Amino acid sequence: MAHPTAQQPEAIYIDPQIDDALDHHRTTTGLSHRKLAMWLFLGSECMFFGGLIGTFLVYQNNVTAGATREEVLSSLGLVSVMAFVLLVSSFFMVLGLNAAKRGDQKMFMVWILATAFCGAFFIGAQGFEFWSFVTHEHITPRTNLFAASFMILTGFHGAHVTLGIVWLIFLAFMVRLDPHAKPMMANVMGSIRGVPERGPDERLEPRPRHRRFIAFVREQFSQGAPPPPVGTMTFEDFEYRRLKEERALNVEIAGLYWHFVDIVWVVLFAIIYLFT
Amino acid sequence: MSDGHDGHHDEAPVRIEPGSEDERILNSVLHPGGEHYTDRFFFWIFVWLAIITVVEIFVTFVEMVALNRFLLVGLGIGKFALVVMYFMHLKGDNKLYQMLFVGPLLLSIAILVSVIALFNNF
Repeated sequence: MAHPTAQQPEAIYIDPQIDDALDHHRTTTGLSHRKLAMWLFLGSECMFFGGLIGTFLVYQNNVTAGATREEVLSSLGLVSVMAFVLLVSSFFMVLGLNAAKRGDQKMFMVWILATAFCGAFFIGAQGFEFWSFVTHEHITPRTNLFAASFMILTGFHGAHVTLGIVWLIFLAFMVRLDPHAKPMMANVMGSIRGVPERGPDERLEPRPRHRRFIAFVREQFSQGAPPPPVGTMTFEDFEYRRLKEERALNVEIAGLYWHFVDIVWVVLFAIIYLFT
Repeated sequence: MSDGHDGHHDEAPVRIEPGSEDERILNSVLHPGGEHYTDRFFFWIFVWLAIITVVEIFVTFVEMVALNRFLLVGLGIGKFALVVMYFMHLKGDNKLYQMLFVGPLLLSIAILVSVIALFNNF
């Protein structure tokens, strides 16, 4: 018997139940629909922020009353710190994702909460910036077109960050990376994560009748079933790995959103503040 | 329910051939994430991002007329690309993800360039 080499990858043997379960995961693209939907959403967000940035570029010098852009956006101190903190939060996010992939629940929580904390700092700083504009510069979105386009643009970005913080806190406290661990609020989590809570011995669904028939015929004509090959993947092992990967994927999807919020600020920081 | 389930465990294991459709689906379920990078690698990406941010701020204080803007655009693109390629794992990930993001991004940039050219307000 020829030994498999690097050029000849080995065949995998799986439990027939896994073969059935794979039918439930078959997609036309062969990709996770949730991740695909997130990328599609981020693509639409590019257009959304592109529209708002375009509006700001048109109206940035349109000042009929109140303070001008140069008077309002001359200080770089606070926004530089905000930009840096958001970059740090992106770094923490990828560390959290790596911890999730390793199944390290404690470090996952630490990094995700650190990310959320950085986001909260950013929102606090942005709130302070808005407050100082209103009280010291006396500008509101109604003052002039520059103020309106600036506050709507940065305000929408702040709203995205706020949503991201809520998502991260939810992830940190709700996701159990180990599929064997009892999840918090199991009844709620099943619907939100899209992962039904199942025991390890519980089947996904009854096996289709035609597959049972084929297996029965095969069994009758086979001359003594050979012993299962060494290394056959059991259904329990498959389900454990699948659930573990799915939970890490939830973190990855949240991470995609968070990094996108970060790169939007990279663009806004350059266009709004640095080009002044 | 019992007829199908009881006999189920006696069936022979299913052989998944390398490169087959079944193997692709199995991999998409068990390895749905993109490329994996180490914590150390992410740290160095973060260091580069921090350096670029510092250079950006420094550039704004140096009077180089038109060169400032070119530099800032270049540095901004660099930061953007690093985050998207490595933090968002888009480099080496499926082409469909790349198209779904880069397509609208290019369209958005085209609109911004048109607005700048039309209003000459930048």
